[in-house]
Amino acid sequence: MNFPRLSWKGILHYRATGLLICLGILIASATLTGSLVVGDSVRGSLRETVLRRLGNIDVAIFSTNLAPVSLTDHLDASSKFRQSYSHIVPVLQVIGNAVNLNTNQILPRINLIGIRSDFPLAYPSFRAPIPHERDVVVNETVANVLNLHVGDALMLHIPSMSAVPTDSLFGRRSKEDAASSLRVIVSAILPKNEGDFSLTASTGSTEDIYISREWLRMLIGEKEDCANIFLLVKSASGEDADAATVKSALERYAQLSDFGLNVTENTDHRYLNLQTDSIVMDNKVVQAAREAATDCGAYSTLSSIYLATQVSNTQNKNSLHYLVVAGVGDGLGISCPDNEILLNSWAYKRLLPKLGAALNVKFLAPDWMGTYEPRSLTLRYSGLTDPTGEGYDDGLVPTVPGITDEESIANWNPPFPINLGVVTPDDEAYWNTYRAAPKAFASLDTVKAMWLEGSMDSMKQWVTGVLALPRPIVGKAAHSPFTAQEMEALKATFIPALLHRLVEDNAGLSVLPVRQLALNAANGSTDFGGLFLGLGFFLVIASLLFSGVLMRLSGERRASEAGVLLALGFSPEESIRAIKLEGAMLSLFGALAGTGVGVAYAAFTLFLLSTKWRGAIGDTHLDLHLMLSSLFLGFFLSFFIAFLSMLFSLGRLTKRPALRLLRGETQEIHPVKKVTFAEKATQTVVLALALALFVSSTLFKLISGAESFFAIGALLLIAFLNGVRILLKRQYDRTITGSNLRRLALRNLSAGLLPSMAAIGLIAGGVFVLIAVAANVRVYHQGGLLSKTSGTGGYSLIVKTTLPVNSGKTLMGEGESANPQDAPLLRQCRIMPFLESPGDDISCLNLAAPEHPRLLGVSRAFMNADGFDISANSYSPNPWNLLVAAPKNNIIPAFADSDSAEWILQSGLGQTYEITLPNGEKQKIRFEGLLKHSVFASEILISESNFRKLFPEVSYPRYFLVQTPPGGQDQVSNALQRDLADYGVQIQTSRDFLNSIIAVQNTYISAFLALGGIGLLLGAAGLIAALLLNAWRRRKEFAMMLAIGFDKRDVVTLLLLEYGGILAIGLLTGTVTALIASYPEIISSDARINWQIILITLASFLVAGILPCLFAGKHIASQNIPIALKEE
Amino acid sequence: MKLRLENIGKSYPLPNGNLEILKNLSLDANSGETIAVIGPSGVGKSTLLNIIGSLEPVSAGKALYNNVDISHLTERELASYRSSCVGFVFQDHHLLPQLSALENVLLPVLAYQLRTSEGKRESASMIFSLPPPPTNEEARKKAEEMLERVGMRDRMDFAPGKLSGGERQRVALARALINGAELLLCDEPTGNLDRDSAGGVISLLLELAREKNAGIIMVTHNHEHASKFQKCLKLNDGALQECSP
Ligand SMILES: Nc1ncnc2c1ncn2[C@@H]1O[C@H](COP(=O)(O)OP(=O)(O)O)[C@@H](O)[C@H]1O
Ligand SMILES: [Mg+2]
Repeated sequence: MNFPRLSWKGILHYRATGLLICLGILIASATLTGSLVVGDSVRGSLRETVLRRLGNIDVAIFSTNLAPVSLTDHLDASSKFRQSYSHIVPVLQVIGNAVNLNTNQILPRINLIGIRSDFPLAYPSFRAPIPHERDVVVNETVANVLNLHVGDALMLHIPSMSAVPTDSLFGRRSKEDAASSLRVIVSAILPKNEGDFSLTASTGSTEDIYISREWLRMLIGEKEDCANIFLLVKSASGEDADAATVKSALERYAQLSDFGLNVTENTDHRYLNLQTDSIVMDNKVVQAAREAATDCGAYSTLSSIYLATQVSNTQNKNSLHYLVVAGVGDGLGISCPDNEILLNSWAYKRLLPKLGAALNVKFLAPDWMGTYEPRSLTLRYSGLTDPTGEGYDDGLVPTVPGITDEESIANWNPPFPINLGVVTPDDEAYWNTYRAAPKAFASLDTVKAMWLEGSMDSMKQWVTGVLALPRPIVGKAAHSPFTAQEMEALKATFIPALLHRLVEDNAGLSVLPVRQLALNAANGSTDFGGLFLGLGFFLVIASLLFSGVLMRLSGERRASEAGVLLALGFSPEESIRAIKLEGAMLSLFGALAGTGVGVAYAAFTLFLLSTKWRGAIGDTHLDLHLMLSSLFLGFFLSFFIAFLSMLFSLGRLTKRPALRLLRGETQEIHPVKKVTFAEKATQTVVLALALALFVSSTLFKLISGAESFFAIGALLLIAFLNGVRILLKRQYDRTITGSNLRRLALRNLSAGLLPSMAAIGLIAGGVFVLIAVAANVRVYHQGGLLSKTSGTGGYSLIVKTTLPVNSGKTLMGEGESANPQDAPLLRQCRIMPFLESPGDDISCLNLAAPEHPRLLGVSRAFMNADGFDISANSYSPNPWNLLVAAPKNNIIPAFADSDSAEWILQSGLGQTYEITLPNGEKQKIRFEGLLKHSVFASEILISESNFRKLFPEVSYPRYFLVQTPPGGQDQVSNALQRDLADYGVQIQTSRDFLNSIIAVQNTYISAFLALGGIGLLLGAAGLIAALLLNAWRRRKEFAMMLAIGFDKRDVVTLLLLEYGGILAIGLLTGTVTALIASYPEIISSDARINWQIILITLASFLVAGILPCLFAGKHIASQNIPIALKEE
Repeated sequence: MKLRLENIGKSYPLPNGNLEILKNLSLDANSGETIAVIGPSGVGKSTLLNIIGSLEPVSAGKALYNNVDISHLTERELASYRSSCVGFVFQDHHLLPQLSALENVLLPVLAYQLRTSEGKRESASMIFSLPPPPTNEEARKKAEEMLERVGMRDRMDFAPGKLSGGERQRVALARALINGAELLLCDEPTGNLDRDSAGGVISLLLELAREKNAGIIMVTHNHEHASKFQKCLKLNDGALQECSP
């Protein structure tokens, strides 16, 4: 004989109870393990997807503008780089839209990827022939959505990739210039999962179209071979290579041309001039250049030029047309104060101003509506520039395609309107000799003002050159004080310093460890393990409770066994060791089986997630991923919890004296005290509080949402339960007169006040949670969304385009391709444009952790219009103004949807959050306001000027909110669809968008209800089991009743009244409190409460509880009275 | 074996004063001595047996077993005492339903093994010198012999649920004696049995006690049974008096 054998015998003998205990543990373990496996599977599937989409790529170099592919040769010159990276594959990627020319179906926001034969080195699953000329290869998603077959014709629209900011004077913004179209033929369709090249971890489908890189380059009008992404594949020996390896190679071996920059020395040896292919320089480049100058002990200043349409002498009416006005900073020896203007001798001879005469400078300022507003300013003539130097040097003027590269002014092809009639042969002669050399000089600020005119945005770029010189020149200097050698020496130190700074500051080229980042994002995705654990928590608790109660009861039933063992010479601990061991074995079996069932449960959940609950995960493909660690964790966790709860329930046995154990006595009957004053007082106070809260939240809306719901719910539950307790206590004091069974039942309940109240509380709590959660199912209707303070702000359409809309006219039905009939309708709408950054969706629609959250730049006009339901961090009459507050410590004020901020970004109101920009830089933002249930669930909102600081390359909006005239929503939608077709437009009603977000929530709610419903039934079963075993213990009492003349029906009725009573009271308490607390949700017109399911759940709960009572009652009532009475 | 109770008292605290059950009770019992205790229900007979069996402490006086005061022993020493010195037979047989007759008889051997291995570890503090425990084979042989002796050998693999009341008490008897107890404490062992089986169990009990030279203290209501014992004591008003059955 030994303990394991003893335990094993016990398990075999008490197998029915054992099985039930096991079942409870099994369910807990299965829920636990299953949740972990679901989490692993989602993470694992994302990881797989991400890795598949990355191919062999480890690191990528992103170029803001197009970079020459010669960059690859420059990098290859580094032996360290060659050792670490086996391949460097340039690709030219651009977001565009595609139209199936047979069906006219449009697919917006596709990735058009220009590749060459080296692409499979980076992305080996690309097994189709490399496309040539007009051929394209599409991936399966594109083929499916557009219904494409090999040989079909497609029309591609892509935005211009010109480096020149399109919103500037020299930017090309006509429809032909801003976008290119190309008719192509599908030459191959890549099979599923083999053509989903993507460098980010965003979930959902990717729409990829592959085209020949040469062809794409020619399409966008580039003469040189270029690329904007360089894909790097590590070599076998490059294990420990990372982004830093690439950066140091870039610093040493890249050339300025790789950044689209060039440094020239002016003819006078006065300065080194850094200029960009994009005419105006990115703020980051400016900063890097000035830092580089400081690094090599040189002095730096800025220059800018603008084209004046006319400069006229207000006194003699002499005027000149189309002349370049230059501005330079101090320290160059050519300074010009603000409000003054210098002329070169050529211009002076023609304008003949007196010193101090007012010169009127006319120029054009482009605005978003696509017009070039004529503006002017008046400057005082203050002298001549140096006749031999600056005045005739066109070095300050960067290359402006269509202007500076033309032979004569008559050949100019500028983006802005030009009147060639006013150009004289004299002007042409100057052009012929001095090209674009500035005829006038003004202060730097004056020229800057010309660039910024008409724009509310102070972040617009305006610097055309950074000038570096060995030291500042004091005063005016006719000739450069520096020698050619000095300038050579400066150049030799400045350029490496500049390259170092550019690489360090990610100015122009940024190096990102894409594999690392994507894996991080896949790992940091929405924790589905935690989520499903949360959803199934109720079930875990209920099943553990079920097992715990059964263990406890079986322990009590076998108390005498412990007593016998004590009498036989076992120590107190040994006397229950066998029972403990039994519990451990049952826990082990339960947990083990549960782990297996958990895997099946996870598989089923994944199946539901990819079918019925698809709303929650979108297009993500999910596979079962088993990780030993999670299986072990689930197993051990459930085993230990079960084992501990078993120890806890047996713990009390050891404290009983041996004799009482021998008699099978375990329960002490506590004498019931009278209803205390404290109880009555609590009752009054709690009820009053609940009432006050209810009134203030429903009538006066003083508090709202979750807080009031929880407060009211908790208070009501306490009040109800306390009420029941008082009621039961009162019963105990009453003398039972006559044979009133109902009284007797109440009296019996009050005799076991503690277990009765525990059971009622448990049921009430469970029912409360279920109903309250069910009351939160919602679907938005149109009605509530028209209001300005709703989540839509009163905007009923969300319009997104693939190509930036560079002219407001297009939106007003007045654009080049617009339909004139639409204009009157569109003029009645309020259309709010937003600048949109590239980046990831931050709503729950994206499963992966957003690597680069998407930002929207909010315009002043939109802020002034106010609206939305905002909880702000500090008071402001119009909370939107918080966005334009000056950033403190470089922390940008931001707004976001409250759910997205809380659940996806795990941040909150007033908290600081660090975002990673697509170039890898970090930027801190602080949430100054959170919007409730808003259309901005996918983005973070910042002010337009902060936006431009972060994304200087984004000039025009691609995101719009539209307020439509009443009832005109569909018409407006159709009109915009027509007018913006070429821009690759996607229109969604705000309501559909909000419903797609809430569908995710509703999915989780239904999952919770399903699991919670099972939990509730299990809880009921456990409870009833407990109560029935209790009834079994009371069989003598019932035998006595029968013996003194009650009949069997009475006994059954008594049992039903007692145990059914507990169920009914609990059920009623839970239901009523939940209904009151969720009253605002229930009456809301958006509520979609599935009353049927709730009723069925509650009814089955009642039946599951009462049926066993009935059977047990019958069984107990028909027992042999004498034997029952004799058992002592 | 020598049991000596010296002026023991036992009372239970009740809300309104103490309930005195035993007062100044003294008793001597030696090896081979058979004592029957009679008395009305609720007078404290079971309490007396439980005190002797160390399941319950005394409130006053001394309970000496081989001159060791058992009221001063630790939990473990008490367990050793119950395991090796005394054997219980209850009115309700208290056999474990999950074990066969043989296994039930073997159960005390496990306790004995535990006690002796414990004794080895803490040899100094041992009060009752325990002979080395039998090996498992020896124990099994001994148990079979015991069952043979109580006439249950052929049903030793039966679960208690399949045995009659008399048979169960025979098994319980074997269980009480397996560790060589020198004092048997029997609390109405035949209370639930019919006349014939009751008579059988009592004869068996007395025969076994004689064979093993063990003492018996048995509580009974049956005067016929009591008359077969060497001594008959009546518990009355908290103390024992000699009486004739
Ligand atoms: N734990 C206890 N607390 C209070 N009274 C007890 C306790 N155990 C037994 N009694 C009381 O002690 C008395 C003696 O009980 P018991 O020894 O079982 O009597 P008998 O076996 O003679 O019928 C009874 O009146 C009983 O109610
Ligand atoms: Mg008794």
